[in-house]
Amino acid sequence: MNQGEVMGILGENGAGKSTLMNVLYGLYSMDEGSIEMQGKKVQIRSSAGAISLGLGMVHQAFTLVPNMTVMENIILGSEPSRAGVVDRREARRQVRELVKQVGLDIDLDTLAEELPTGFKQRVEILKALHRGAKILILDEPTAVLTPLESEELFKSVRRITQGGSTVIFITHKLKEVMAITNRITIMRRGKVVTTLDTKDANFDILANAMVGRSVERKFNFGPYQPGDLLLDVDRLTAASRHKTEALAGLTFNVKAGEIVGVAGVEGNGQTELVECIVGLMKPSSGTIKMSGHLVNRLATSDVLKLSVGHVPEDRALNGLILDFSIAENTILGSADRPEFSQRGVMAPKRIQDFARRIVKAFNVSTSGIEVKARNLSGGNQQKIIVGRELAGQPNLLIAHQPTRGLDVASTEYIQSLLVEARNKGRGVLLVSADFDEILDLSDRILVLYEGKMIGELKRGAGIGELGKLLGGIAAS
Amino acid sequence: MIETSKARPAWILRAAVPSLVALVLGLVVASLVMVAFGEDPVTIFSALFSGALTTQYGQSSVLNYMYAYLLLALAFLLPGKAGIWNVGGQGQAILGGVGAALIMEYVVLPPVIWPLAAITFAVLAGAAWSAISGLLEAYRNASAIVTTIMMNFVAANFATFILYYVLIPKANVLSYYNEVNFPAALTLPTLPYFTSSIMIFVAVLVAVGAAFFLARTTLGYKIRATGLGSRPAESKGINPRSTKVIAMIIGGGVAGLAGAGAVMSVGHGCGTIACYQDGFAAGWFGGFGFAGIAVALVALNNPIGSIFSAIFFSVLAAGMPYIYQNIYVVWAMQGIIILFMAAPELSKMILTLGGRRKWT
Repeated sequence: MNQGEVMGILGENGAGKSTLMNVLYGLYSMDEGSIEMQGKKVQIRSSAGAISLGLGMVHQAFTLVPNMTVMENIILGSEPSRAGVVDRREARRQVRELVKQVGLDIDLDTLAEELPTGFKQRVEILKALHRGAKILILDEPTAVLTPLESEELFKSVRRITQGGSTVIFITHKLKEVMAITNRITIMRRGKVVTTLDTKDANFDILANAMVGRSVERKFNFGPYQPGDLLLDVDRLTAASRHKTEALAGLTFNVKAGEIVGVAGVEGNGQTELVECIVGLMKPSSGTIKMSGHLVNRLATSDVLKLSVGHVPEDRALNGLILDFSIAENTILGSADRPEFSQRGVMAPKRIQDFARRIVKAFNVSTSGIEVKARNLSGGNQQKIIVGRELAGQPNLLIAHQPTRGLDVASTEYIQSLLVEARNKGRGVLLVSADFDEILDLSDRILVLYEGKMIGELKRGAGIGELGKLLGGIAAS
Repeated sequence: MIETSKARPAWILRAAVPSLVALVLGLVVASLVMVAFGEDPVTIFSALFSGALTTQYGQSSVLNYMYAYLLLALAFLLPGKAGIWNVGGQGQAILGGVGAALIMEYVVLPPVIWPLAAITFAVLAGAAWSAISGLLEAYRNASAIVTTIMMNFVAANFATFILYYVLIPKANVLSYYNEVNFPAALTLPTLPYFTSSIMIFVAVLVAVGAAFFLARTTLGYKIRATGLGSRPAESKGINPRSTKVIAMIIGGGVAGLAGAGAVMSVGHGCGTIACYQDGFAAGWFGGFGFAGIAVALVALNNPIGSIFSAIFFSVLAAGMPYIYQNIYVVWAMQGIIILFMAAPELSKMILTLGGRRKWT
């Protein structure tokens, strides 16, 4: 990297961008290799070490002290002091100067908790600069910003680099790297694919390099014969937890006997979409119908009774209770069914039989059904979840990131289960940030960008087409 | 939990190891403390154990402590299984006592039905009191740890108010001790030989019932699911908020039962409102509420384990009056044991330092 430039690091989720930066910032230790700064090899063992070498990092999640003012937050960790007492006047002078220099205008006496998101990020940037950062790492900085705020951020990034600092800009959005960077490094599956000057790049080159294409996997697809309408979503809008609009009028449907893939870079409304469908979140407007029933206002337990299976994203967080045994996990949500309990008392024998059937039918490798879910590999955990959901013979299966973080064999197995479900006439809604998975499995592909469906592709669509839509070019 | 019956004994034994280690370490460290203060641990422990275990008064006292310790441990651990901290067993028990006293005062029913009505009302009063904290945590994000502690004080003062402005004026007695006696028809049957009521059986029964409830009923399953993973539970349609409230209500009801036992048992002056006043309003039950938490923690929140840890804590408490030396060492010992329980890593470290094999 050269001084005073903006370097873009581009890659899809899980490509290793954040891991690389965490190594650089001393949060993770490296297994092999070396880091050189200004021609010298350096060892970065902690974030304090990274800071003293002039590295500054702005994470996706902010680390401000909520009940301190903007100024106090900026000087935290590098307070100018006199005889052990913070010199507030000097601090104010320094911060004012810094603000003027980089053009990030902000009221210094507001409490951090009262700031809107974009301003919190400004504080984070100022904090890093105040600590003397010469290299500023911005980890997906626009993920939390509105388009207007992003523009403002780009302006100040330019001013920061004019002051001689270097900025590393991590993102998965093509538009942004084209707009702001001087050079771009593209990563895929933990490796650098290529590094090129931004002036030599265009969207096609970037999209192809970022998405890549692994060997085509073969699945045994039956003929595509879409049947009854199982899920009908009409003009759905919903607010995210941060009160911003996460879904902006989605309309789509899923029929029996098809896999509908929802492709999109994470954080474009996938989580909210799935949560709205299964009743974990209430939409602000629009309708969701399942086999004709309006489910907008139903509780999760009632939605799931409408013959719906749900493989949630993040199996360890949402899918399994890690300290429950396999057997206990297989009846999660169905303990009240007559086959597992009578008058509120559970039937352990039947539950054990059921768990053994799932373990056998879905090739879970475990020493027994009393093993805690925590002690299983990710692949086996996911087999239990998918097995549990398919055991209910659902008409509609919602699979959210079903193979994330799994090894190749488990991934293919889980994917083959989805295909099998489709061939049996179930409808599958596959929400995934794994583009290969979407392209391989889906009969129809819907592309989600900033809460909107910006395109629909048919089976056999090219990677370039998808890549462009994923980067949100269609929206601009 | 679902497990084969063959695996059970080994499993229970393994589960009990940390508790036993903590108890032994607590006794050892407490002995060292005694030596440091120039006391002879052997004398103190023999006075304590022989007093509690060999005299009729001591044995009765063990039983009287034990039912309250055990019930209040259950009042803590049942909501705890749903991931909600009920530190308000004390206040809920006080409300239970108030509830039973009000039934005594305002209703007259046939024998058997009358005490049963008083107990039922006590359970409902404790449950209602805990429901407030449960609802506040589940739907308003107010930590139950905080609200239950605060409501303990409200309960204590409410009980004093009821005593002085309702029960004593109505009973029309002027006594130095402000005693209001429960009528004989309302006192619980007393055990032969001991000066203790049948509450000990009730408490053990409730503990066994709680173990069955947690392991084998669907509601118990949902409570455990909520405590161990509220997000997966929620995504499979279990409502973690309402489940927490239900667990809290059950815990409060069990505490209310302990309160009913305290005012309706004969022995140690209990069975009179004087006990009710001394205890509930002025701290007798205050100690019980928090001792119950310690009992549950030492048993690692296991209902059956709580029976045994309640025995241990009851013996310590009942043996106290027989110590003529520094009584504070017994309190110190309780604190030390809890410390070892709360910090399993500490116990582990001490064991590995001693070169013994790991116990987990």
